[in-house]
Amino acid sequence: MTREPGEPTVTSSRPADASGRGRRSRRLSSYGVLLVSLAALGGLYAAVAPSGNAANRLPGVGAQTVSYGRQLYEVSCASCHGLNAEGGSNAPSLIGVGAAAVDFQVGTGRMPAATHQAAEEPRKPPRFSQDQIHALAAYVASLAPGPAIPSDLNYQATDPALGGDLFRTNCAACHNAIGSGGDLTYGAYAPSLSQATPTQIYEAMLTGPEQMPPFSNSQLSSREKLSIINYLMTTRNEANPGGNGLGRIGPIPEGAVGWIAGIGLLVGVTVWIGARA
Amino acid sequence: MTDEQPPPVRRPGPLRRIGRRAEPAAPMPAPNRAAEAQTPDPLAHVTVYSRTDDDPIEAKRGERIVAALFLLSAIGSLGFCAIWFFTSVSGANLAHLRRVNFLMGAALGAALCGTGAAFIVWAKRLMPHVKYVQEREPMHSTPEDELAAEKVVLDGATSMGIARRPLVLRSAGLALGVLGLPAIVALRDMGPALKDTLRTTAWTAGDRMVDINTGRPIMLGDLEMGGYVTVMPEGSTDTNANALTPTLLIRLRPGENRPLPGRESWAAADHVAYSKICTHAGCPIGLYEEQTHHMLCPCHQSTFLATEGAKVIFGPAARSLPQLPIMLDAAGYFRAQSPFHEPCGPSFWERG
Amino acid sequence: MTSPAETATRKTLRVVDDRFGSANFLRRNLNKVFPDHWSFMLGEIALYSFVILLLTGTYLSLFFRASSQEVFYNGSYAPLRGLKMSEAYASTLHISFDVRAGLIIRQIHHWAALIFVSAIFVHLMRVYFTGAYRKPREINWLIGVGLLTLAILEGFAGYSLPDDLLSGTGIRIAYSVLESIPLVGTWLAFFVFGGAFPGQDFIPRLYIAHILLVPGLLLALITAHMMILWHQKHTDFAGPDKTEHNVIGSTIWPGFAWKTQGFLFLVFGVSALLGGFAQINPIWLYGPYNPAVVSAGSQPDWYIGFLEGSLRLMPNIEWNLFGHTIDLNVLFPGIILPGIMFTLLGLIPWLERWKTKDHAYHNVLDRPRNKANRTAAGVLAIVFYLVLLVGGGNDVLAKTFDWSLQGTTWALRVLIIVLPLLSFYVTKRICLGLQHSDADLLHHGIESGIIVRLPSGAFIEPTKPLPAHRRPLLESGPAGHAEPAIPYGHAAPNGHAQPAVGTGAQADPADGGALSAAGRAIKDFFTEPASGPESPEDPGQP
Repeated sequence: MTREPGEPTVTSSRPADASGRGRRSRRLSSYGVLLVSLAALGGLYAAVAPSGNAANRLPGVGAQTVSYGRQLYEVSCASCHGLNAEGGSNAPSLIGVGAAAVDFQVGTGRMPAATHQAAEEPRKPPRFSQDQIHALAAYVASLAPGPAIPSDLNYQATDPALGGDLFRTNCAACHNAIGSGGDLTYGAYAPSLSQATPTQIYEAMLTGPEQMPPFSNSQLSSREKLSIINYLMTTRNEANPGGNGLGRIGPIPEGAVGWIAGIGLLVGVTVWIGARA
Repeated sequence: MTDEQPPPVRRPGPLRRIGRRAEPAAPMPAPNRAAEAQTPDPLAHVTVYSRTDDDPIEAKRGERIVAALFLLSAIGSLGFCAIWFFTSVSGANLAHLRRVNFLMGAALGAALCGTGAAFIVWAKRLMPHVKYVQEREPMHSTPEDELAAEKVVLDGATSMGIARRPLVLRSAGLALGVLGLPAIVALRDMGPALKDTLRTTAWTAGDRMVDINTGRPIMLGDLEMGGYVTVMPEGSTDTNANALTPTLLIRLRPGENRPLPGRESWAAADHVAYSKICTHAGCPIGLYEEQTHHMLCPCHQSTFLATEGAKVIFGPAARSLPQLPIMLDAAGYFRAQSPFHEPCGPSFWERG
Repeated sequence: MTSPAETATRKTLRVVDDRFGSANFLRRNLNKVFPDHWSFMLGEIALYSFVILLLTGTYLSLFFRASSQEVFYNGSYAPLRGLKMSEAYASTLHISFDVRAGLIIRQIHHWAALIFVSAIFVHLMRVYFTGAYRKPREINWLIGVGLLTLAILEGFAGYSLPDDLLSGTGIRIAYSVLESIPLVGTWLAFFVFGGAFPGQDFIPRLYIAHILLVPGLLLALITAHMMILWHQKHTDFAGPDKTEHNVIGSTIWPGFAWKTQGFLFLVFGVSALLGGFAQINPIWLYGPYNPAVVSAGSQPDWYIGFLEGSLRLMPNIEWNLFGHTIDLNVLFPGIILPGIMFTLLGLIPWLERWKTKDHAYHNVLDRPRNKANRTAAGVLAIVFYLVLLVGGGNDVLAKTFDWSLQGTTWALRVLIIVLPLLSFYVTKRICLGLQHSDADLLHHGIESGIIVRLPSGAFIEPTKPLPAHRRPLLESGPAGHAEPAIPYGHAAPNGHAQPAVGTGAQADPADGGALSAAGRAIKDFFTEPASGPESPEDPGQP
């Protein structure tokens, strides 16, 4: 703060204290009152707010994240999933689904759902930031034990061939041998895996979103899951050695290209040969 | 003079030297080109119908185009050889393989399309545009020729004496009729007898269920609620040898299972097991929707309901999937109570 | 002054003639006239793609191992290393990844196979819609249907040899179709496969069928097909000076030979370009076949698609009779329906003769519009086939457009009945309409676009008479006075049909080059531009 020239400086003054305790003791007692009232308020809040068992919070997650998550939940999710995540006619209960399920559903943008009655929620740009997703996950995780968000996914160290073998047995019937997705009954579908991140794939296997069955770590061990992810990442990123991949869909686009570019071109050549001059 | 006379001797004609004409070839007449152009060709009944005069400028341009195309083709062929010599490929570098494949295709394409287009442009631009007309001979012969041919055939048949010698005819019929049997009989060894191969799987009572990929036995708690796994009997995990054996073990939620009458004991701890091989055309049913409990076969979309004995709810399959009765042993592992109670896989005549 | 080349040619011909007496044979056949229309070369696409298949297939057979023996893959492609697979699959991986020209030859082989079957279909449609299968060409039609069937089976065998997940699923379905045949089905399946599915014998047996038995049959039938065509001469559309008794076009040597030779190279070239630019059948992505594994969205190659669709659309009917099962849900779509379809296809010449009572020879082709029933029936068959083909991909369809899978299937079940019948009716009306407009043109001429008011007050549009070179084509239809077909039983009228030989006949009108020429060729599908002399007499009178 600048001082205008000519303005006297203001110094603090010590007014005389009538009680005789002096300034210091009065400041100390006011601090003490502040501390006590804060503690009382905090304790009251902690007692009243339904933050659940402290042991269920994600490690390293403080009460603020959980409560922030609860606020977000009340605004965006409670209308379908219930005020206490008990579920409703449109949406399942979230008690026990774990942070991994939330991270997957909200991280891929499937939740909040755009429509009530869709057979399957499609992937969309996520509506929440990473921190908000983190908070929502923390809140849901605090309700009951469930699968945690996986970390340190070192899939490159695993065997992609084993992953491919497991993928084809357990996953290809829905997601197609290359992971391009497939159709399910009555409007549902198994989505393409081309946009899924390794974390999301791991979480999906663990939590079994929507129609997908869950694969616990005792069924597919963590290492096996990582090998599946390695297989998917390897084949996703590898080049198509034969030329244009035609979407890697299979014989349908191949037949279309054969008709249009193959026979179509050759009939054109035939017309050229038969034309005058 | 007896009737026996020596057969007449045929005298050879004047000797001919093989490989060379007997007499020197008559000098060939010089070709008369003017006459050739318009003379009807009686052998092929071909005459000129119309002729278009050539345009010399167009022809010159055509020549250059043809030459350029042939040159392109030569470059393509040599280019392919160069690519082939100076490259090596491996499945470890697919991007490189893609480049090689592309270049080879382009080179081969240039080589082949170049030559092809060159020939066609040559025919269209450099050759005279002449149309010919040819007479069509009737596709059937004159009545005289037809009768003559028929006479030959019938005379031959008559001289064979088929009509007059029924014994020959019947014995020939017998021989020829059975002549093909050895071939058919020899082919019998192509395949084994049916026996019970299609009726049985590798499941026997007490077999432990193991994961088809890892071979790990499945115990209670391995599957989440709503989860499923493909299993084979322990010790018989080769799917090629036991193609009808793969089975799906599904964990339902409590209360979801509505077993068919008499099958209440076939489930164990909310787990049910069904044959994985579709009863329509034999594809494995890998697709399970955990919320609707639909088991969908991706081949022709037959849909089965896992909570109601895998009965068919849509699609061309006509029979529900066979259910495997399962139990939990003392250690918590899943085991088959008995083999399947009906044949697995698609239907067949003897199925019953 | 004779050139050295000419002397050498004459000498060669004489050397050959000394041994074979071939002079007349050569002259007769090199002078043979082939009509020029572009649609007559469609069968050659099939012929040349067969040649390509033989050449590329021979190359592949040098590296492929047709064995179901299981091996552990130890090759260069990492996502499959260490896995157990058949030798057939492993050798196909080896061809694709480790043989320098392996992938391109493999892809050319597969693309050529797709083109082969497509070309047969296109050629078949041309022959059908123009009525070229009528007497005397019924046997050739039958041979052609046989070629189509063999080509489809050959393609199925070919793409199943690598024993990958996608094609193996198709083999499993084929086994079930065989099984479903009453009485002998299981025995048949056991014989063909050497036992229960999958067995060890099927891949080697399929290989022998694919490289020896079926190509041998194909070669024999193609030779017969071409020899018959050669002997009977090709049919041709109606046109100026064209009659039932002649054929106008180019001779084999040199024009036709040069064009067809170029065509061979171009068909090969297009296959090569496809092989280099577009990936086909990436078996390394599908993985080795395993009877317990399947991929979503499994489709066969396109020419088997109609069978796949019929299997998917069929309702689930199964009969149990006295302890035996007839699974109609597999038997009908897999055996009965294709049996009916191909039998009907083969019997077409006789069915048409039975219906039209037309026993005459036909060397002049029909315009499709002039035979409305035939054309409409053909469209009905094509639409039926196409609905089945679409049904074969109903899951991909439902996923792409976000439809319900069950809804899509039901919609197709309805369409398979409704759409062909509707298309028959619509096609017939279109044909009849075209016939009427042709009759109008013939009898009233071309509209001039000028409206004239008569003194009486009426408006008329004067018309120009149709140019002479367009009359024959229109007259070949029901509206005109078509030349009577050569009736059966009479010898053909004698005498060569001698149209006036042109001297300095008109060249084609000035055109803008090959593209507009091609455009005109497409536009005037049946009409020939004035390249022949103005015929002084009405065509059709001998």
